[in-house]
Amino acid sequence: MNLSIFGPPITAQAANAVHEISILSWNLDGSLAACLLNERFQEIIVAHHIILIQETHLAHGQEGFLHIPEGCSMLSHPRHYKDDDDHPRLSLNWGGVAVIFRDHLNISLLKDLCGPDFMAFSYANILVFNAYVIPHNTMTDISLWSEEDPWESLQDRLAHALGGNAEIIVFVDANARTGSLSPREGPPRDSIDVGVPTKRGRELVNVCDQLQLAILNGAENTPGTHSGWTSFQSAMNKETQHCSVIDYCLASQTLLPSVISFDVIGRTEWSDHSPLSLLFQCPEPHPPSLSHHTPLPIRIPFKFPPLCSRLDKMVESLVDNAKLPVEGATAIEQPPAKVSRGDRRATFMQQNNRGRWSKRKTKDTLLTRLEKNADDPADFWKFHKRLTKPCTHKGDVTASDLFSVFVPRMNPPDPESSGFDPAKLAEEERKVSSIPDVTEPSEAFPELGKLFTIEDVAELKGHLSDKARATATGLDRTSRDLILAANDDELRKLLNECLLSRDAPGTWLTTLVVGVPKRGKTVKDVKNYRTIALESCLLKAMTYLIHRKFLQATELAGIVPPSQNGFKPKCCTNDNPFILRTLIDQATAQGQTLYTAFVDISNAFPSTNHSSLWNKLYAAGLTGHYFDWLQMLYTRMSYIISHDGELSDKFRSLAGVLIGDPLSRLCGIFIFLPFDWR
Amino acid sequence: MVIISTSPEGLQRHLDTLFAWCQNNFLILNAAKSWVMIFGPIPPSLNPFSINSQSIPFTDTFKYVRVTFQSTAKDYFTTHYAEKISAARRNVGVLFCLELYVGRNRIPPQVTRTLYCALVDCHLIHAADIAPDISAQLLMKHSDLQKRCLQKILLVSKHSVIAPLYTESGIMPMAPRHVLLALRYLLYLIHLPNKNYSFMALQQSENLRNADSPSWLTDLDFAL
Repeated sequence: MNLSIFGPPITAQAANAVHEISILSWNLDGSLAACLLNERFQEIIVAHHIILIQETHLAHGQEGFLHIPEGCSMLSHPRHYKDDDDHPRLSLNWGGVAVIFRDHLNISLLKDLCGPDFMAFSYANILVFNAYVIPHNTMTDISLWSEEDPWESLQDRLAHALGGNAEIIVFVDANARTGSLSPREGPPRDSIDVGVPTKRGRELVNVCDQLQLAILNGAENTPGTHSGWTSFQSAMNKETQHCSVIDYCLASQTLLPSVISFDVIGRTEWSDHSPLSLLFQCPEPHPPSLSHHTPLPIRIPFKFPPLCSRLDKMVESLVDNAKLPVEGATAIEQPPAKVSRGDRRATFMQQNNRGRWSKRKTKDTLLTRLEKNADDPADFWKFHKRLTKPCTHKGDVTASDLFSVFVPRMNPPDPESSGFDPAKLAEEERKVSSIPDVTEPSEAFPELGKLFTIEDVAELKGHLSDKARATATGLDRTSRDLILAANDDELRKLLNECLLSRDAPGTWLTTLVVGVPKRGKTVKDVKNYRTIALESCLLKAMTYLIHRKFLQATELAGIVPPSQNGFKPKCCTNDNPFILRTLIDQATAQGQTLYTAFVDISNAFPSTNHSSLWNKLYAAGLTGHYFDWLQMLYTRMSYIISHDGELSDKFRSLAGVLIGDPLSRLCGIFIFLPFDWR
Repeated sequence: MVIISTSPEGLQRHLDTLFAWCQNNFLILNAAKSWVMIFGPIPPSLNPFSINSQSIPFTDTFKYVRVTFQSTAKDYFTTHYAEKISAARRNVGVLFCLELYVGRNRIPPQVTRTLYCALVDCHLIHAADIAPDISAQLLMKHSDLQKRCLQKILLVSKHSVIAPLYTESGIMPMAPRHVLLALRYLLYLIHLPNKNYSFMALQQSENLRNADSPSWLTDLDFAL
């Protein structure tokens, strides 16, 4: 759709001009969610300061599922059904209104002036009403969602608002025809709707009369094109007997000189109602701008230093020899059969679609994709997530902000503030420095002295095959698919060469860290970001196998106490709550009081002391190739933060287990080994 | 992490020992985020518990491994039931919000069934293995929500016949589903090694049942 048809387009000229505010009001008949997925519709949204929507069909909280354009916020005022709390409605709501506005606009919802299917908010000392009035001959039971008559309630709140001498603008789908009637003190009107005014239409004019409001539709001396139809009940036939003017813009008489332009846009592909566009001068001292297109930062690709070691070449050869499946080689999608315009038109007419073809087309496309993906769980959930979980708009944090928080988080706390004994710390350091670089496997764990076998590689591939396909890659871009396609023997040789040389390819030793905001917390505070690390997939494959070796060894030796069952395979999640409930039952049966303390250890995994970890593993006798290699990995691993295309400086982590690494859970458990574990 | 004692002095001693151990292992205990809960008769006078001289607050509900315990109710899983039904209802909204995108009553049953099993059913059966149904009222809320969801999935009226809802959707009614999950857990417990804590808990539960005291097994008997 050409944006220019949306009234005097809010172009750069209007955006830069001071005091000019544009409001678009539109009854979308429940298609807001689907429309927002369309780029052309989003362009319309971001071209206005405030967008008022009638008939959102949203329920409480559902606005969180919508794809609101970046830089915009939304306030939804849905219908509240009486039995919502006890018996949730399983079908979509009806009615409801909402406002989408630019983030920086100072808009406050006036809850006292809101009512059934209408909302009011203030902006720059102007009260704006956004209302949908259900048709008077509706068959629905209004008492389910409103104790008062919505039309009377709206009149009451308007009178109340004007009692405070406020200036108001009302956008209303009144389901009322007024013809060319006009309030006594308002400007004369010349409407295209020459039909007989309805009862509610006359009431609307009376209300405007009493409250000194002007009806802008068809009003003389009001700039713009606004005398046209606003509702098209039979748009495909272009029969005017089914068209009407029922969507109105009402404004205080005192505001009329401020109106720069008011336009009834006409029929669109999105709804059978016309959008109404109002551009007016606003007394707001700091007018908002419409500069919504924030330039995306230039993504700087990370460059590794020259990679020329023997291990680097082995990785290169592994990647070159892997027979990755060629995308699209097996499944070529047949292009959808073309539907002639006449057929399409006939289909819509059968469905009584009233010309809202764009809306229907979007919904049909989404439904087809949903059905198509239903057979493949991975594709299905990916699509469902993309549909119902819109991207969280990033806050204003930068890579350097994240750097200032993540680096202290991934390094040891200040010994003084944490209360750690400096002598004990020094003792741990001394002990770890006495561990030789190359350790011998202990007699208790001969498995830890052996290298990886073909069976290990097969086990690794079996594990990866069970995993979901959507896995993120590290900086080296090696993927799960590449590992699955790699030659078993070549992979085994690479991993064993790493162990024997106590070295790793250069690409494994830099891990990308991204910040992901915690759910339910503000994205503007950098402290609310989690550290998510993207290690090389090949490195993760190796640490997974080491994890298995350690797990087998510790299980055989019974090193890990039975209470630490959180990471063990074939254990049930509810084991510990079951044990707790039995203890409670036992205490109750004996008439005893059971005192329980649920204790929180701050940053247990990120603050793991490395020296303490190595000393515990060494003391446990878990030495050999794997121990040496892990120590090398922890010592040489460096991190780099990526955020919004920016890359931070490299940094080291001297505390905590490797983030996102398969071995880390086990390392964390080793730290929790009690005194007498031996 | 949970620490347990049958005396206040014992619990404080455990806390002090844990604090000392954490200091030696360079870990920080956070008293402000820790909680103390008391099950059974509360003594008339009780000193607050502390970690490194910082008081630990008391609470009557706590979520331990995603299962909420309530110390002030006779059935200490009452809050858990309430939270799970509330979470299930929330997710019903997530499930059917898909209609916003594809249109009212247009989602195919096989799609809604998949979504129901992943988003709603998981809450309705959560912890059913360790908390068998001993309250018909609480179970009824779960069953009602399940029934309404199935009616909506199959796009039939809410006054429809009940039995075909389960046969057509292939989803088992709530009461036998809960019992089967508990029985399956019993089977898992029986096959655990003797030294496993969960197996020891099962043995203790059996001892309690033999002594006519309430326990997991007596709850399971009741549910059966």
